[in-house]
Amino acid sequence: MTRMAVFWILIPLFIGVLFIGLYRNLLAKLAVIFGASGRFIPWGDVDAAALGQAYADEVVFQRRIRLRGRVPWTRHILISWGFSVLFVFDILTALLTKYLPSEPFLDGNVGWLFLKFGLNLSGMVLLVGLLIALARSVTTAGTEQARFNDMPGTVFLLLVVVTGFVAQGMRFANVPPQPGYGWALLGSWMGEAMRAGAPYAGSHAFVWVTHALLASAFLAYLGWSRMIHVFAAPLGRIFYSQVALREAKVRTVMEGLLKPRAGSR
Amino acid sequence: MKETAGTTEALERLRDAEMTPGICYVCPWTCPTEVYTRKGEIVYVRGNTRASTKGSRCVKGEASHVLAKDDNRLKHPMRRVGPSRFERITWDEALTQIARKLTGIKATYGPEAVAYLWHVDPNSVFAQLFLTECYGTPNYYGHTSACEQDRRLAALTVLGHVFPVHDYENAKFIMLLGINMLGANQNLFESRGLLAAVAKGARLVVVDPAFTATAEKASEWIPIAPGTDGALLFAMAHVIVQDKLYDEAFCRQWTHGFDEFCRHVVARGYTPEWAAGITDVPADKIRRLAREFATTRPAMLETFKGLGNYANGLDASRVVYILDALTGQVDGPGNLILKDWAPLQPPLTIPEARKTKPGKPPLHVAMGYPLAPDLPTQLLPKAILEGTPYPVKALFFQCTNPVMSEPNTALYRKAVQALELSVAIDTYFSETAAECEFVLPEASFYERAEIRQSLAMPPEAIICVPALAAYHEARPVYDIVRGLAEKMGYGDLFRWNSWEEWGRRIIKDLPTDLDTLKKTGFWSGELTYHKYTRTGFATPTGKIELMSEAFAKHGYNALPEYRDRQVIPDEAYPFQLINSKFEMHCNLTTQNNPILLRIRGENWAELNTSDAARLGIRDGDRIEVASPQAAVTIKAKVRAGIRPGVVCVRHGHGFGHWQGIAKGRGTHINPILGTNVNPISGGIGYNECKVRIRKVSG
Amino acid sequence: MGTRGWLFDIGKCTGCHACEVACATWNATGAVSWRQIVKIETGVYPNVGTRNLSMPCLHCDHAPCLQACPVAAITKRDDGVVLVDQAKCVGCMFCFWACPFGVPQFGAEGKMSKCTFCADRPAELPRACEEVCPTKAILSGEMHELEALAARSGGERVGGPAGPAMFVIR
Repeated sequence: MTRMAVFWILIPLFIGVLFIGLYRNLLAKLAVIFGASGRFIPWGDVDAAALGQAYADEVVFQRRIRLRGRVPWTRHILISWGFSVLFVFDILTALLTKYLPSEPFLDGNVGWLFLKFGLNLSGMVLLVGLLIALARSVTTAGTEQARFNDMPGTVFLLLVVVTGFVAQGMRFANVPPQPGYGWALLGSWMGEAMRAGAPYAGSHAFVWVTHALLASAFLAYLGWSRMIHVFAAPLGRIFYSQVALREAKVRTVMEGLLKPRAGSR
Repeated sequence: MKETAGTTEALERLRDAEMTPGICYVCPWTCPTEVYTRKGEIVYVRGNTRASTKGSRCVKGEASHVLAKDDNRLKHPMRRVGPSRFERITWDEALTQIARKLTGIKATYGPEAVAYLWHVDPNSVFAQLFLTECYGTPNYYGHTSACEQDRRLAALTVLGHVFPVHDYENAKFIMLLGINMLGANQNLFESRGLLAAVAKGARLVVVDPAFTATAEKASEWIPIAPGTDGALLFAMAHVIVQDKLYDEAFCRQWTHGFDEFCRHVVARGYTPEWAAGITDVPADKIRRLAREFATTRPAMLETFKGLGNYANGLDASRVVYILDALTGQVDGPGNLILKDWAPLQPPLTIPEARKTKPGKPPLHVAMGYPLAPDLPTQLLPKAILEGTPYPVKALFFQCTNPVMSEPNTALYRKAVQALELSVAIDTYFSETAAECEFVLPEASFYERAEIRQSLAMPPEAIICVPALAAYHEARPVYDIVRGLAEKMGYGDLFRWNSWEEWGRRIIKDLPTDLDTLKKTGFWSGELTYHKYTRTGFATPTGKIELMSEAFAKHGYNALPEYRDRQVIPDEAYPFQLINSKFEMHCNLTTQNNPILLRIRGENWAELNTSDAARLGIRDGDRIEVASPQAAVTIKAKVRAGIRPGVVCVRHGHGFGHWQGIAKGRGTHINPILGTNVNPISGGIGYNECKVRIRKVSG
Repeated sequence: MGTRGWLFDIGKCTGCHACEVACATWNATGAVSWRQIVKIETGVYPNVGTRNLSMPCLHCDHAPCLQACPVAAITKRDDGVVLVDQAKCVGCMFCFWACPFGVPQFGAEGKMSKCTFCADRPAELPRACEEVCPTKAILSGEMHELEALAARSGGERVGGPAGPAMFVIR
């Protein structure tokens, strides 16, 4: 019970840290922007089409990273999309299994299998991306490039993902095979592999708690590390598409500076 | 201003680089530079910090390091095998075939049938020595007729100096007509001096139909009616003569024709009221300007290319220098400097016994332009196609692209095609090269050596030390000429182991040595003023010639006259077409430069806000500019800073041949210009053109 | 050493872009330009005026870019020079939106870069833009020295709460 008590205290704490981080490192920064240059931004002139295009370029296809190379782009696409979809499926799973009248959806296993499949597929995508990142971090260690790598973030997220898959595998290993269970992909394969080994009843709880704590700690980490770019970069970059806004901002300042003093030409 | 001199070693350390002094040849002002290289690549460039440039470089010079690695440069000799088709040949093949043709032409038509044209003159002295002294053609010419031909002839005949420079910094009143000091062609110490003078309170008056970069800094902009500057100048002379504001003692001692000139301007009735009707400058303003100019010390008047763009530009330019003479300040502080040249010697001497004397006069004399300081190139097609005044069968084009830069481009193309031998020597392919039989790759100024005069105020010699290894098979002109000389039996005269050998001969009279020069990049003598008090002026009379003896000798009016320009807009063609250039571009060398194209990617036609409103043209629209000769489309630039009734097109864009990033950019305006030769000087009247305009698309 | 900054003389700037090119060459900025140059023509013919401005990073006293950076990639040196660590930069472009002058630039790859005051040049050397400027419209130095120079020509410090380190002579 003490372990679960720690769990129930730590989870809200981590979430709290995330929100404080978002406040300090995102909202407060946006406040600086509005304070420093908000008055130069003619909000009425926002170009919605450009915003949409920028969303596609910067968030969906991440074209700027593509310009850096095929490998960095593949890595980042896998991690960012794997992480985002996994996050959405996690939220969905939690909502459906715990808080919503989900019987009609989960009945007959179709919905359940959909969740399992989504969670595992996105998790695997993320895992592949993280392994590429780890390989790069290891091979470039000690070089100038190493400073550009986010080794802590990579290892952290990798731990979250790996513990997730291990916990799932242990859970499967503890119960008889169920219909449609293959849709859980890596989870089911790991379950099969582990089934042959020792009983994992006790270990499963431990691994699952570790996974849950790591996951929520990672959320806290999001708000205080380079991972803040998950929120900040899409926002800033999508607005960078507003060429008129950008130019107006610079022009306003320059025209102000160029205003002749009274009496001079 | 932070001192730049003495910071060379620090920069070398910072970039682990080696500094090589160089000379920039992007434009003809040949600024001395410092080129920093590491492992055979340029890492930084700046102006020579010890010479008058004080570290400065203009935008196109600063960006020119790109050409050292530009894949679009000419890499190996080529021979034309059909329309726009070339085959690669070796240097030996090229030189052998050119030499054989030169020998044949000499035997059939005489050596005078060969002419050599250059734009900027990197090492072309070698070509001059070989062609004019060994081969025997007098036809070795530059590009001045497309530039300051009128100004040059005016300076030569009035002041006896080929190229006055300026001590703007110490001037109190500066009036500039048709010269954009801060625009395309900058003598960098002059730009700095001009603005320093303005900051100190000097009056700067800019007379130009367009509000130029220099007008921006002026105390007064006078948007004069195009091509009427002469009337304004004569009226100023009239005021100065009538009110006796001249320096009489100086004029009596140092000018020729003083009384005649004074009587002349009065007798002709060149009054401010007369000029006001022509120039659209009020008579009162002309009076005020004349008095300001004549009573402020030091005060100077100057012109450059602008006036010579019209058929009446020569006499207008003469009056500029006559006015400068009347106030008695020429070659003094804050005025025109009739600079002393550094005592440089030729790199080689051709023994008398080996020289060939031409049998015919030089082309410009035979064409009837005995005073022309450079070839009236507009008449070259006539010589080629009609044999008048005598046949021209072979042309060398070194770093010059007349098929692009001359008016009436179609005729020029036809003329080049009709040659028996045509050789383009350049760093880049060009419209002219496309019509030539042989195209030879020239080394850029980062890859070759030269020692030459600078355009600083004191006598100054500058040196270009090769900073980079050869670019593919490109060769400096001295090596190309040496190869040709060897093929034609003059190899013994053009023989050296390294360029330093002839370099030492060039500087043998300088109080310095080559090793020092190779470190510092320049040698500077003492700046002295009023040199005429010791030597007189280099004119036939030894004085400033208000009345020109040279003009009289050749049957021209010894005293300048005012005439209208030739082409005046009418109802059908209501606009006067004038031209200017961007400070970011100059000829071929800047056209494929990604940095410069990012700053200014194409040219445009400027027209006044009121004209544009009347014609429904907005800034950025495409418009058609049509002369009686032809029409082109171009982007419109609508601005308040241009005189209504005038269209100003930025020259030097719309090159057709590029395959690189310059492809398809800009508009070439010259096809709408007709053949136009200024009388006496033989310069090109680029602005003698009337046009109509209409919107093509938004 | 005191804080450093710029003295810019609008009267001397011709808008020729030489500073921009020298900067790009010395700092090897590639496709990005660390100086923005504008030419503004005002007035009605024939009373026309054109003014030019060449704008680097103004290395503000209270740099809004630094304050707006979510990952602390932007720092201010003791001599006042504001620098970005590209290794830390996540390319969120908040600095661009925070900068009152729109100085931060983003290459194709998305990392912020901007004028470093030629960070590798010792203080006694001129900046690249400064040494190449044909009319010497740009001057770098310590702010207290520049203030005295500016005052002599009626120059003023660029205003605003950020405290931009540039004097302008109009």
